[in-house]
Amino acid sequence: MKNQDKIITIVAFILAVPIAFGAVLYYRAFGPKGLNIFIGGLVTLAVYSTLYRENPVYRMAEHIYLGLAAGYGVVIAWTEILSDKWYDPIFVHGQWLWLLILPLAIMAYLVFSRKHGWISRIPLVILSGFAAGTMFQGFASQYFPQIQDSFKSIRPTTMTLAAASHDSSVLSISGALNNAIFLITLLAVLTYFIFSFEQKSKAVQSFARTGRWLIMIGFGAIFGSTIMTRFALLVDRMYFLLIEWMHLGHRII
Amino acid sequence: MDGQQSRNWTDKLQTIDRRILYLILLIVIAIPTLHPINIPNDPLPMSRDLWETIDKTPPNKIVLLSSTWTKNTRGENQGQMQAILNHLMSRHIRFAVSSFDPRGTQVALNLINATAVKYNYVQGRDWVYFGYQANSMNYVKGLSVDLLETVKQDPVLKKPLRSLPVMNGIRNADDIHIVVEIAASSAQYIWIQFLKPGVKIGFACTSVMAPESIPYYSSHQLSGVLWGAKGAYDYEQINSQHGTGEWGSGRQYMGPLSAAFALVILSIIVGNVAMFASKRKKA
Repeated sequence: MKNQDKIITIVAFILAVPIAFGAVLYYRAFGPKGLNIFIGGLVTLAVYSTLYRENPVYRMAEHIYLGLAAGYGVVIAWTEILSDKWYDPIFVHGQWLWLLILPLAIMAYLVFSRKHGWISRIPLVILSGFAAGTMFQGFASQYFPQIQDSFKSIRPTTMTLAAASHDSSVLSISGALNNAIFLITLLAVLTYFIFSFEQKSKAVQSFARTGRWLIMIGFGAIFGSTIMTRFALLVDRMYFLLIEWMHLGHRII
Repeated sequence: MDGQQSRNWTDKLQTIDRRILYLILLIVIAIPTLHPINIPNDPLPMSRDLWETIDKTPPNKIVLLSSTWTKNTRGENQGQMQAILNHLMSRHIRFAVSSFDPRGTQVALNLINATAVKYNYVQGRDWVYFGYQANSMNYVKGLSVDLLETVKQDPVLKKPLRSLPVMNGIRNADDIHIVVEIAASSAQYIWIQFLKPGVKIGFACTSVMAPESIPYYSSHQLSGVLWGAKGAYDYEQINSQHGTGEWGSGRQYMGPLSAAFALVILSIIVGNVAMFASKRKKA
């Protein structure tokens, strides 16, 4: 452990006493919900401490979170899945035929045995068979409408400059222009991804290069949206710390 | 000497300690959080379409909310779900809620229970809980065939769905007007792939998921999309225009969010100006 880590750990232990005192005050003032918020605020600060540098307090908060999430997942798995769909039907309602599935599940656990590991492939093969069949349905439902929708009209039905509408029966000049940009993007990007034969023509090469640039523009938009999400989460944490935890303003959520 | 000084300030601007930038960011966000400002907003067509689709739910059908989000994405998903719940409850639309994430069930229940008090919504009578659904594919396919056999009971009430007044006339996916997936990740695909054709699907997602959802809205596979915190603000605004809900975190967060974006844009401009100035001096 580095010296700075030791100092941070000692300070955290010293702060534990006033924190415990604060927790009692919070509990008295706001009840159990208040105590939840108090602990939530401390853990939020512990996690944000990594913005300064990686430290033991952050690691402790991280491990507590992972432990809680795993424990919560196990409880939910029992109360809402295993108890509801497996234990109750067999042992409460007497539907003993469900037990016939048990050997198949046990076979899957034999993956941990070197000698009998091959048996675990049997349930995997059965599940793969089911998955392969259903995935074709999934592929068709997801992508066939996409292919159909890629055939867009570039001839406007009305000579107005109204914004592109979700109503497919009306196509303004701006909507037609939008569709034209879409078609050029689609064809250019598809051209870029043709690797079956060498692209010798200069025109095809430049069209493919355009496709690569258009992909980059798309990635830029996605990255911008990622920043938007991260900031929204930060804004929410700041709201939590300032309004819900420190009570510095009027609470609206 | 002048050149040396110029190089110094350009280099300094390009090497600002990230911790100073974090501190500035926190201050920039904290000010509008403590003193809220209203940012003008024009709801996106995809937000409006989702509101209108939900609003047209016939009395003999229900809305199914799939709450696949957790506290991690509270900043975006909670505002969206709150706005949708306000809309459903103010219009007295029956709804069910399920989740593909074990932690998504509790956040949904907390939010619904808090909102239900305001609108006198009763579990079992006005809304029903389908619980955590670990096997998403079988769940969605099962809804299309026989909803009552697929879900069987409300795990909180511990009562069979058949016995609950909210399920009167509801038998399978044909009786669901729209499924609204409120998710942090790409949980909408399972509905697009396996839900019975004809049942509408809406998607309330984090901003990071929104760009890849737009093609599905364009092809009418999604009836509407709520784009992160902006989507929540859109929905709240439409709610307020129709008297179907109150303002919430969508409007509250838009001020700090806009301030943070302004800081990022300013930082990019300053960083680039410093970089070009530095290159010019070196040349």
